[in-house]
Amino acid sequence: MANVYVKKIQWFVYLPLPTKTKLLSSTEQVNQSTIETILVNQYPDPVTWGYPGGLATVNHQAVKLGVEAAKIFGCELGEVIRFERKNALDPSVPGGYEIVQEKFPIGKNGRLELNDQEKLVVQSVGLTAAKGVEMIDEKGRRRFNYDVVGNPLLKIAFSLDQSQTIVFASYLNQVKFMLRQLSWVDDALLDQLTFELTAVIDTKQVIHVEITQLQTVADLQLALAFLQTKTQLISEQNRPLQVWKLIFDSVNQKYSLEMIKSMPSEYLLLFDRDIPDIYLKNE
Amino acid sequence: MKEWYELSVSELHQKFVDRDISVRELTKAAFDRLAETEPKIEAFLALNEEAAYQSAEQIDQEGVKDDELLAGIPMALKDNLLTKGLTTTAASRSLENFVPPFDATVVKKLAAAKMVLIGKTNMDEFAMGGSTETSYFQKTKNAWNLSKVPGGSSGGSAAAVAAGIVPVAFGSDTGGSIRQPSSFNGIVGLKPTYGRVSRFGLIALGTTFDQIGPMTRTVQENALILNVIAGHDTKDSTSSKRAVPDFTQTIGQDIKGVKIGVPEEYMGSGIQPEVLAAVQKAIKTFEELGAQIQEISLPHVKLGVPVYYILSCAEGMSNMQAIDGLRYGFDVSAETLEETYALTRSQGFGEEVKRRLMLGTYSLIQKNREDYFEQAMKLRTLIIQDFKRAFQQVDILIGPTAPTVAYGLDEHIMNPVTMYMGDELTIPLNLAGLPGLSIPCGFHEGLPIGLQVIGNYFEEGLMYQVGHAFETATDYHAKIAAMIGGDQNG
Repeated sequence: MANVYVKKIQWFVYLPLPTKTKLLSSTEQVNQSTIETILVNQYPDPVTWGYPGGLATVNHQAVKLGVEAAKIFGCELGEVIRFERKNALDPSVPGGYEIVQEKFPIGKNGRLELNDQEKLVVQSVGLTAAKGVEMIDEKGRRRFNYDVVGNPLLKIAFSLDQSQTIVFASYLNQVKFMLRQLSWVDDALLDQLTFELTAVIDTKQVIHVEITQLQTVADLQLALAFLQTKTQLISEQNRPLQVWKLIFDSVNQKYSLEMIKSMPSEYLLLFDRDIPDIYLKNE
Repeated sequence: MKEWYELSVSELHQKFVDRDISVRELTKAAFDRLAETEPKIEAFLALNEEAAYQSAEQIDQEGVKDDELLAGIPMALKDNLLTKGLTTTAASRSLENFVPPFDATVVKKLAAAKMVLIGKTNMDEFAMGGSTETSYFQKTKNAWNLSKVPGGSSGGSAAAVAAGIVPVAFGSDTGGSIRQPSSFNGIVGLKPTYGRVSRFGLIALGTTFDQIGPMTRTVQENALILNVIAGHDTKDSTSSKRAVPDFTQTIGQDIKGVKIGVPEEYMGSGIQPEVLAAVQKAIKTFEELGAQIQEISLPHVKLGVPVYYILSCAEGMSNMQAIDGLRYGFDVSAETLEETYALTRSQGFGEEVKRRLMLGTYSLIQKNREDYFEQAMKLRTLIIQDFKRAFQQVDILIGPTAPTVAYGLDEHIMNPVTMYMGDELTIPLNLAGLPGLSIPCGFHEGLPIGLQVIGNYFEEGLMYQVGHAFETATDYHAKIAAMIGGDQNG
């Protein structure tokens, strides 16, 4: 008998938060990520660069902005919020883990409605920290700009049914419209939105397929089609975690998807206990 | 006439104030003593000679004032405390040449108190071990008997104090790493309440366990040091905002009527008979001092060792993810990124570190998480509840610090479980976040025995009061290690 795959697709929208400092350190945000600055990495931050002895401390202004955003999407606010470490060796995360809010985000169960028929569930609104930006230098080598690591990002997670076909352009416009209601969001900030799509396939074990570094509506549409058609194949290869990247060939004006990582086990999650629980009523 | 290393911190302070001795002279005496003893005990990984003389001369120029109680006092730091510009290796090949770009908060506070840093001390690699034998660089010896271990993981700091190199050293305690080596070396070591001292700049092992604490020859000196290093730090969100009292204020007060509990689980099987006898004798001393002794039960502490190793290894695994050789430290370049990670970490870490990283990873994998990590979290709560119930009945708990006196070099290194069980009496406090003080309470075959004084949360003042009362009634703390001319038979 064939396995029954329950497939869930999540759409993540990331918005940079305009706070003075990084999410988990008192170092000021740096937004440069050009090939010139990457070679220098000139703003060392012991906490977000993963130096031994550094400890995370929460940027409460980022939490405040996150709460405002969660309310805009009609989320139920968490009584307590926590940060988790998603442990995985990866040069883009110098601390050795991403900071996520999977179990105790700022808000849950919100909604994004275009009309009575077209709506998406806002699974969660939470905070995360920017990863290092990968670039290729003039000799074709992979380099990382760590200056931007740790910049605070708002992460909005939408849940899609496995076969749900959506027109991202409409939903994206609605997301921008909602966010634009926040006093601290302007068009320049909305231009910096980035996206990610993840398929979670639950068979005997949970299988994740992530497609990262999506920039445009066209990227999103293509990535969704890929997840809806290809994940069955991926799951049959018994690969618990795959990370794919959408590549745009500007010369030939063609998209392609490239698998950049395949791991034999899932991410290891652990609450970040350097950060005590945050009670939102006290914020 | 006493040698300088027999003088207390307060006596040295008075000599500075009276200008009987200069800070430079004392600093030189410390380095002379180090030159004499270091070939035998191998306690230090890095020396701070030039900077130490510079700060000594600066302090001499300014003069030591009456209220600068620690100015000019030589001290040593465990090599997992970050010192800007001075190598900090955590005794690991992976950080062999790592020079931190910033100081730990504790190091800044000690510099502000004008203490003089002599050097960085040996330890178990990344504080993973109980004998200082897992250090990549060298094996430190016990100053009371050079064929024995100094304990660990802060074994270098303990040996440096016991050998008379410095009157004060600093360690970190994740599962007993200050108290057990203090017990093995006949000195006083405090693991403060979790949150009492900032962890910023301490190379983390177990996020919810680690605390930095002082290792000294007397209780009074220990309290003086805690006065300086305790307090909230904006760089450590887990540090307590609670006001810091003067910990020396309770010292000298009698302990009549203080309720002291003796956990039956601390006095049972697995404890060396001579250790038990020394602790029984200590209990009698407390009775004579007017304390009320009461038997107590902590039924879940026997589960402390497995609970601790699951949780601390999971936290340690996460804390050590950043040590990949890409930005600092030891690295092996390979064809692919995956090979680079694998070679760097397999060659950069020792066997014990790799064992614990694998254990931590195993317990967090989704299919194991519920059976191991989640169960351990529940048991941790039960252990905490045991202590809470106990402190509703008594003010202080006492028992042995370690089940045995110091054992032989290489005796347990091939048997990790035996080594882990050596921490069974100290680990429960780290699981609960409680403070623990080890003070000398006897000897067996010339090797010191430690008594563990356990306080309720943030009750270090009462612990010092009890510990000092015991010191006043006994002379174990005044004994000097054999290698520096003491009586080997104690």
